[in-house]
Amino acid sequence: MTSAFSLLSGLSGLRSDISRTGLRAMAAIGLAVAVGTMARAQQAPPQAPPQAPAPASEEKVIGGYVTHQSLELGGHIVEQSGSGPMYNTLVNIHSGPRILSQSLTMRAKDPSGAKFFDNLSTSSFGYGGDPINVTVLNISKGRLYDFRGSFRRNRQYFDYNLLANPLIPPNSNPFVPALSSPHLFNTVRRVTDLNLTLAPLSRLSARFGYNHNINQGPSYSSVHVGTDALLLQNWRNSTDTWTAGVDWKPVPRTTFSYDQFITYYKGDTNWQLAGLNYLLSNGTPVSLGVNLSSVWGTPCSSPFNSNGTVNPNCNAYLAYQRYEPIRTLFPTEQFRFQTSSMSRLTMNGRLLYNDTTSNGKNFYELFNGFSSRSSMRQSITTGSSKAQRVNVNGDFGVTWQVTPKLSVSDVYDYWYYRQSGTNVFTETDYTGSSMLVPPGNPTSGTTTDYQILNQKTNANTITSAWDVTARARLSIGYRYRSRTITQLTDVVPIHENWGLFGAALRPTPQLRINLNFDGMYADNAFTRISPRQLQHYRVRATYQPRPWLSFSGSANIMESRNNVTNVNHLDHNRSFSFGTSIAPGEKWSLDMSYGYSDIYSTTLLCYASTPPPPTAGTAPPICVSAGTPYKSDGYYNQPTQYGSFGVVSSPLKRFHVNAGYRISAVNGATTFMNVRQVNGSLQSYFQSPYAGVAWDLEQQWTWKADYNFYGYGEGLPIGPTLPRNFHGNIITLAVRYAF
Amino acid sequence: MRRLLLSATLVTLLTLLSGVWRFSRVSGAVDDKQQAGSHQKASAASTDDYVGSEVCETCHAEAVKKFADNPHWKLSLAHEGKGVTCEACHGAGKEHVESGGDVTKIFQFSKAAPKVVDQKCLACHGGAHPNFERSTHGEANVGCASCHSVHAFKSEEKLLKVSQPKLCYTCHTDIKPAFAQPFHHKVDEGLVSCSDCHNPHGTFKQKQLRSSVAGDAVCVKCHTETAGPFVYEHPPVKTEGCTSCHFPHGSPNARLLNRSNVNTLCLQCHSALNESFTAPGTPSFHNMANQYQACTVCHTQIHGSNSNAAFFH
Repeated sequence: MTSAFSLLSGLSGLRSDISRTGLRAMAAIGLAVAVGTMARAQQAPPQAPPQAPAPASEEKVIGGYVTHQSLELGGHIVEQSGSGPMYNTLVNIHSGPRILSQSLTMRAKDPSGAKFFDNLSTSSFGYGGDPINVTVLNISKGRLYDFRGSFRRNRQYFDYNLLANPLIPPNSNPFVPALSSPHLFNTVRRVTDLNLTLAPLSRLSARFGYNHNINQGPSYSSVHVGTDALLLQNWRNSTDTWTAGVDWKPVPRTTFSYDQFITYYKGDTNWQLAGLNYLLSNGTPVSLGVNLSSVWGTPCSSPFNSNGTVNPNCNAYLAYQRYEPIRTLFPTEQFRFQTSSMSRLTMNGRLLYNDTTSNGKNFYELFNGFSSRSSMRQSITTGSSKAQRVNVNGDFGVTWQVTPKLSVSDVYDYWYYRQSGTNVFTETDYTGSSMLVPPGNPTSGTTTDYQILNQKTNANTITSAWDVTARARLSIGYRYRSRTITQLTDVVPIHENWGLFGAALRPTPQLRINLNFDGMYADNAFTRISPRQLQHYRVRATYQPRPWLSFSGSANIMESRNNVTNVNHLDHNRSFSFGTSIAPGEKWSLDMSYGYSDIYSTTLLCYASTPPPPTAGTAPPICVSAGTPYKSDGYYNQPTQYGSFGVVSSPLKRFHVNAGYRISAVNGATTFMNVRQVNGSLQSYFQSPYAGVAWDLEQQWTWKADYNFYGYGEGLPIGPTLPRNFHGNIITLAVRYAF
Repeated sequence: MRRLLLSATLVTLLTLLSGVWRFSRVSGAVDDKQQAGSHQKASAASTDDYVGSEVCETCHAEAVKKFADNPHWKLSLAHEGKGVTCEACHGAGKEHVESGGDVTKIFQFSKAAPKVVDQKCLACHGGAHPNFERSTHGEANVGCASCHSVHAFKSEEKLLKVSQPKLCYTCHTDIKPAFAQPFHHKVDEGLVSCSDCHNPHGTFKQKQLRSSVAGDAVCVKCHTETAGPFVYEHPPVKTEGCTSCHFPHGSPNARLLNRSNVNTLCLQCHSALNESFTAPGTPSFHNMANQYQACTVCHTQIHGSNSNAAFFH
């Protein structure tokens, strides 16, 4: 299993090697670039901050367009120590050259003479190996068209080794801990958005859009047949969305819109067995799964023969494959209108209808190995599934300006979806008692199933806002929401009553204070943690005594409860935060922030655990009779502190520096139901001090150097896994050319 | 019926209160009246009252010059090329010019109440932002000019005063820390922006959330594999929403889970103390100290499955 995990986690080790060798190479490159550009240094004006369009000191006209371009080339030098997988999970920046950023803006000097476009702007960052790459492109031509496009790519490496970790007891013999998460990810998501509006200023304009979203790459998963096998999950799913719509403005301040959306989802993720780490006596590779423990007696009481080969009568996997292509079509129609043409009355509405069909026509699952509980040697399952959802959403909002100071608004929201699903599967099981013997007699059976889940929601919110003075507005409102959830024969009706209050105060032009209170009472709840009572208090204030000085703060407190017998769910999320910005001039500026949040909940629950943790209580009879004899209050507390400051300074005309520090630290606690559970990231800090310099070498050239430190640490104990603490030093050297 | 009566009473009460206020304190809205008067005057102006941007440029050369970088310059293309620029927003400038630049004779956005500014902007942008007046921002008097600046913007695309997410953090100081937690959506890194999930101009959803084009939670636009529909839905995903189990902005917990241990998260609902709820309790063999402590090792397809009612595959 260790070698199986190393398939992807070894990537980090490889990267560490690259980092070490790249360190020297990048240092040489950076130095060469720096020396080369310093040699060109002459008088130069200050340059724009990073990632901003390049404002040239003089207008440069190319082909009738005022053009600004910039290109920032450089690279990272990374030194990292501690947990490589965790570094990749949270940071994932490695050594190497990069196209750090690029931008181009073109504006027609004389729009009437521009043939294809009046404005073009594009920018990008992160290409060449960073985990995040983004490109945006906007082009417009006056009254003819407006195009906006973007491409975003993100590599997601995820290996927080406590997630889905079986926490193998260290006194197991042999002790084979799961050092990486059995649900490790190394996937890439690419999102493309293209939107074109024709005749944007006309009475009738048309919109077209396309979105492509694909997520793919290797990851790990697991499956349970007898025992839990590690699977290589070739992740691949995507959606293509096409949009076509028209906007019609028959009279000023009135718009009717119609949109047609077609979304097509393709799920092509497939699974195959990983972790074939052991051998049968005949030399066949075999997987004993992720739960190998003599303490638990899993996957069987004696998994190994005396010669080290695997017991052929143990729960184990010789092969596993699953293929389940899903195709889903989401055709959606939407009609919208908006009008403020009538005196003192504005209204808008939306009606959306969606009829989704999802087909899984070729499900295939093969298990080859041994499952002792059913004496199954092999199993093949084939079949198909179909799920449908009809989604109807209608919204209407109206605001009536009763008097210049009083307005009344009402919003009605109707949402109804009903979805049904059916499947038919044929499973052929082959009996057997030993993996050394081919599968025995088959027995075959076909099963079908049918499920439904519906929800109908009606909500109405009426609010009245009163401008008491030019500096004070009070609002009061009432919301009623009813939901009816139907799951096969179960019908759950829920009725909610909300009281809403708001105050927007501006005692002085420099001070703004907003207070809001939402209170809710529901007569039922769908889940044990759904609130029956909720109070949400928010206070936000901003104070700007000078144009260059601002303070802001907020208190956000949400209390919710589902305090019925045998549940007693209590939940709060309280946060208090503060920020200030001081920018007295171009010489320097300072930003500071502090935040404290406390997320807390308790819920009565009962469970089974052997041995029980010290905090285990005795459960009520209903739990004992269900075989879960221990009670917990489900205590969870997540007090988190955040602090940051950042300084930007230009002590010399051509020399700019910035420095800062960010830290998020949580010191939480939770009730464990397993003696080997640890707090992990619930008691952790994540900090990142940084500093940078930019030196304007000459009019168009800037040399830049940035330093970022990332440090992550957790409290003890770390649990039966590898430690997750790490730190990384990232030096980024770059040259920016604006032309 | 009781609710309708309550609503009607509420409206009547506030109307009466407003009336009382109006008659008892006429001078309270002097500022408003001046601004509204200016606005009305602008609206009622004849074509002779417009002077054209060339005249504005004589005093406001810098503003007019920079206006070429501004998407609003397209207004000059409206009305068959006879549209106006400065005066489209600031109102007819004849009186202002003839008075030698009297600032009270022209509409000043910086001096006007947010609601008045909003009305100005929404006169053209109302079609794109029909929910703004009823949005959280609109109700809180956080008007257009709180975030946008036509003449001094830092982000050209939306004329934002400051680029996202820094602009949002200005008021939402409680959200900024969430994105600094170990696990977070990559907002500070520039991959996604606040407005990918929220529409700051309001939607029909709470928290100004957007929705997918099919009307589902906005999350499924990227996390497409969770959209379903599935034969076996994990019902809370659809009925209570993704935030039943996940913190949307950031979390110290992996996968943005709102509890550090998955078994605690699951057992909150799946407990034998479940008389009133449809969620099944934990089976007795799910011993939290052995291989069953990590629920998602077996229940891998926890968002929904087409082939297994227990979400095994």
